[in-house]
Amino acid sequence: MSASTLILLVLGLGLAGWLAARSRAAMFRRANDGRRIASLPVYHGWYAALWIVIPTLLFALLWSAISDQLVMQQVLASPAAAELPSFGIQRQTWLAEARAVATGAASGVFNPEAEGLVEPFREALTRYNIIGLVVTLLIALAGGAWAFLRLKPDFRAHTRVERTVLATLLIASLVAILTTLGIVASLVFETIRFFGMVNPIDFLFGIHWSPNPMTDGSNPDPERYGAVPLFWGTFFIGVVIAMIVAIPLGMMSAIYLNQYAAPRVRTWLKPALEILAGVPTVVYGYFAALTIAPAIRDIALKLGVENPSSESALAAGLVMGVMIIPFVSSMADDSIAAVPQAMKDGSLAMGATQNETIKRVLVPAALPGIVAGIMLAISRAIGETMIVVMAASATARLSANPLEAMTTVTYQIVANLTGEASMDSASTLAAFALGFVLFLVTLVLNIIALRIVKRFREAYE
Amino acid sequence: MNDAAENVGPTRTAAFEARLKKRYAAERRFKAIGLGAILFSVAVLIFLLVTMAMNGIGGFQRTELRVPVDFAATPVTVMPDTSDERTVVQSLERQGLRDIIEFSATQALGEEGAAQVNSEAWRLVAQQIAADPGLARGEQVFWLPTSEDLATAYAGDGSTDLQPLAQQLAADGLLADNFDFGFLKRSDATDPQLAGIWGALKGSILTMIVTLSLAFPIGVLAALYLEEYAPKNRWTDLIEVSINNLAAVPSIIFGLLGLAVFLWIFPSYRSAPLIGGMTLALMTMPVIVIAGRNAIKAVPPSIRDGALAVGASPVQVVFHHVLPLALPGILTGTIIGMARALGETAPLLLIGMRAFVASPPQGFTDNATVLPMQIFLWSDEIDRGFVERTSAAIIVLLVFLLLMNGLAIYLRNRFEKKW
Amino acid sequence: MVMSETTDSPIANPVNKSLENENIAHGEPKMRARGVDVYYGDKKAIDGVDIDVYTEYVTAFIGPSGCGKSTFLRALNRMNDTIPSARVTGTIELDGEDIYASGMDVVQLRARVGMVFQKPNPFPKSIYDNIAYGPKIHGLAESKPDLDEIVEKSLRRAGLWEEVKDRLADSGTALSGGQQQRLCIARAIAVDPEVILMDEPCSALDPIATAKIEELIDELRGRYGIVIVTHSMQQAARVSQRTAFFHLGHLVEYGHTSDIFTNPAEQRTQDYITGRYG
Repeated sequence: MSASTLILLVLGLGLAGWLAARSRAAMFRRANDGRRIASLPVYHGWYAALWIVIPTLLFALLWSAISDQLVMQQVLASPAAAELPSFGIQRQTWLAEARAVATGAASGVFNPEAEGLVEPFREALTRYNIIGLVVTLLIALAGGAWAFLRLKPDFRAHTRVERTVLATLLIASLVAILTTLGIVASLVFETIRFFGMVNPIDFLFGIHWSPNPMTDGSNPDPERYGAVPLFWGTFFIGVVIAMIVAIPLGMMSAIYLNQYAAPRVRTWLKPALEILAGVPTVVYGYFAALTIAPAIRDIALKLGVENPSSESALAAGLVMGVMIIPFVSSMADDSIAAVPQAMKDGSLAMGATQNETIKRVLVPAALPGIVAGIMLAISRAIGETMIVVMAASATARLSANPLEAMTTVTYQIVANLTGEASMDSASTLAAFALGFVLFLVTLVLNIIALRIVKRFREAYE
Repeated sequence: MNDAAENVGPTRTAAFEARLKKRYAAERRFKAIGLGAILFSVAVLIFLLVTMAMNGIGGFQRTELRVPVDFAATPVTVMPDTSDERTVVQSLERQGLRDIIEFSATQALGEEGAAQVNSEAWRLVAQQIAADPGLARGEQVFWLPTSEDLATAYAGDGSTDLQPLAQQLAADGLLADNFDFGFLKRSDATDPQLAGIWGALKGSILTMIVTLSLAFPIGVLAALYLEEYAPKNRWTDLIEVSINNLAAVPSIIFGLLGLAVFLWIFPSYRSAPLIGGMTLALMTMPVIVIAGRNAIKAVPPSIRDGALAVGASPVQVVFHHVLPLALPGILTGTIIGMARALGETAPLLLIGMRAFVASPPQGFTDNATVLPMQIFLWSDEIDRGFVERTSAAIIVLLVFLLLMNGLAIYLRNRFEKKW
Repeated sequence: MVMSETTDSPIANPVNKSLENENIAHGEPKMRARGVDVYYGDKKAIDGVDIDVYTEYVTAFIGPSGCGKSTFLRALNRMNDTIPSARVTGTIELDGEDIYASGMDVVQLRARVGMVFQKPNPFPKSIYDNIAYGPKIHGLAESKPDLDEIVEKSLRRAGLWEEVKDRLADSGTALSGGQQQRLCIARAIAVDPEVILMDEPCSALDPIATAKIEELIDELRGRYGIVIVTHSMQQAARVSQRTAFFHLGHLVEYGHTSDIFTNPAEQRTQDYITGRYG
């Protein structure tokens, strides 16, 4: 019994309820000699359908969330599970394989050790599926019956339905807050656990980073978790190098598009920038690693630099800068376009040339918007992951030489979460702590930038 | 200013004219810099696309050897009633198809050449026979994939030992790069000659279905609430700030959320499209909300007033009048958000959608990978063949993204209304 | 302000006879327009306008909304160049030079023919920088004291000096509407132009501020050629010595302000000033 069949079943029941309630309401109407009833029959239909669908879907959601755990518990309680290794990738592989066979997704196990787990899985799955199905049907029936009994000629189904719709809208908008809370909660929780092992001072101000994924949580070496080289690498690649590329090029592109380009030219160049913005970061990363990094290394060698790194900060930073250009450009374009034409006319009417007008009037007037755009661009650059994962290095180094290998916060988050370490090890938790720092920094940047943008827009409206 | 200046204005002197020349030079320089900046971006884009296309063409091809197989001399039988490909392949394996191919290859290519036929080549022959049992009669010519070594040698790379052999075979017309349609139909493999992207593509499609079916309704409903019903208070402000901030939070943070929350609730669905889709949905939802609010804002209040004036309830006004008018704008925003989700890799990396998936996922809870992830995984491989396959996969991904963006631009132009 | 059709009977010579004679008395006009048409795309917004502007007089353009008076005003310092679809034919001369000739430099032209807009548009800079903007871009000040002097003189001429001398570093946008408009006039004066074009400069202002601006216009007369577009006939009567009445893209009548208001030659002028339409 898959989730999709369950959902289809619930929707089917809802449809049945809708039809039944609507025809019943239509009957009231006929019985009333065609006099008006309080609500149209179709609202009675919706009322019944909602009473069937909403409780059952809520249950189905809850059930799918907990049944997986229940199944796993039952399987782990079975004698066959005793042979499982206590943690690590092997345990997970075996469990996943046995589960796949039991659900019919795979025809046989690859690791013979998983064979014994298939049967317990099958039993547990059947058992909880049946329980789930029965309860779902019961809830649907109960909901339908409740709604059906309340249908009367003078029943205001209309108001009820509308109230439900409004509640649904409210809940949908709360998802954003829930997501934010979810992010904060998961990051804070794991970060606190990490700070139980490593002093926050050591983490934030230490200059030596070499986490050891093999140690478990009981014995971390705080000396290995000094994140300053990561912060520096992130800053150097994402703020210094990338912005040196992106700010001038993005600004000048925006100015050209907005002030100089003929409409026909604009219709071709603007989409080109949009395409550049739409290229996935993994493609940029590949481009950086495959083309730019070797080229930079070759050039550095020709210039007589000894041992240039093939994972230089420069390669990642340059490509990141190119990625950010369309972002800066579109923010700057919007801000400049928001400056009232009167301002520009005023300057031109004084006999200012176009570039004098741009440099002395338009850009200063658009400055808040441009600054906010750059802050958002920085927020995006320091959170960018794929380019640095593919083109930067794992080596944590405090250096101002762009030809040296450097690592970043996002690189280390990926590296420490995709390795072999267990969920409890200090290196895994360190990744969450890094994520928390990243989240806080980008949050501050975003909120300040959004404030500025809002105020800027209001000023010119 | 003295009297002379009163008669001849300060803007009509020779010094002014000289300055004017300089100012115009500055103007031309400035304009050229602007044009240069944007042309640089365009040049990078073209360079990127050309690099990918040049590498990618190789990725859509496969180095193959021409091997005639005479099934009259070495007959194999295919049960007519066995329609299942798997069974047919197994039966052919038992009948010694592998040896037959090896024998035919030795005859056609010689000892050395036969050694370079891909070890899985017989399986491809078996699959072809399963699809068309008529092939197993008489003499048939098959183009079989080579080993990765020979393919590399044929391209002029790799070990020098095989290069003379490759040149010889090619001169005899036995070795060629053929268009590899199967690249779009196979799944991941350890041998680039056998790798394909259908598995990843299907994973992407399944993931996108989950993302869309969560993010779209939630996003649209939230946008409707915020724009049409929300009272102006602290809570609404908080929701707004949350949404605007979520739209700008690094994607990797959503990966951490997915890892900590979704995988904690559903531990056995690691690397399933369901979890990946849910994670990406949280990322896409704010984009849809923001686009949706702008589209709803653009619907003139007169339409609402008109509907309210004939006695429609607030819910009817919104669902009968505002939403249909705002829909093109909402859809445009949705497509753009989905395109971003389709190209997203980082959060999926954290929730484990980086598994080696050799067969396409059959459902939302199967192990799967997605297209950008496949690109990332292949980019780590050092074989020349994978470099080309990576670029080919990038081309496929870019084609999908271009189609989506093109559709969004079309919708925007087609339905954009000026009120 | 796009004109639909200009089917009205063409006006042979809208310029009053009395003015023709005056031309000789006052020498050459500062600006002379002959046969000026302005198009927006295919639509003709101004049709065959002839007009003379003198330094000695304030010239007012009046007429109902959409009659093309602002369009014509913008043609006088080529501000229409900023609208891609706009096109001007005919000749407009400044001191005998055709301002649409290829040799004419638009930057220099605009430095000589300044403009004040309908809505005050100070730059988002300090009061001082607003005034100093023109002299700076045109390089009119050799040194800081020079610049200070220009700023003070311009503000004094615009009658704003006493009000703002202690807060020159404040933002220009922080001033009141009337002050902002006088700031814009001071800004235009700072480059010592020969003609100042004013496009409904008081339409966004209250009566007291309007009175101040009108006073200022009167003081500036003689030093600068002033052309003012106005919606208000009372204003035209108060500040101008010459009035041009525009209707549907045509110049209907041009003459002494007193003549136009008391004894118009054309029926349409009569109808407009007596309020039959507008």
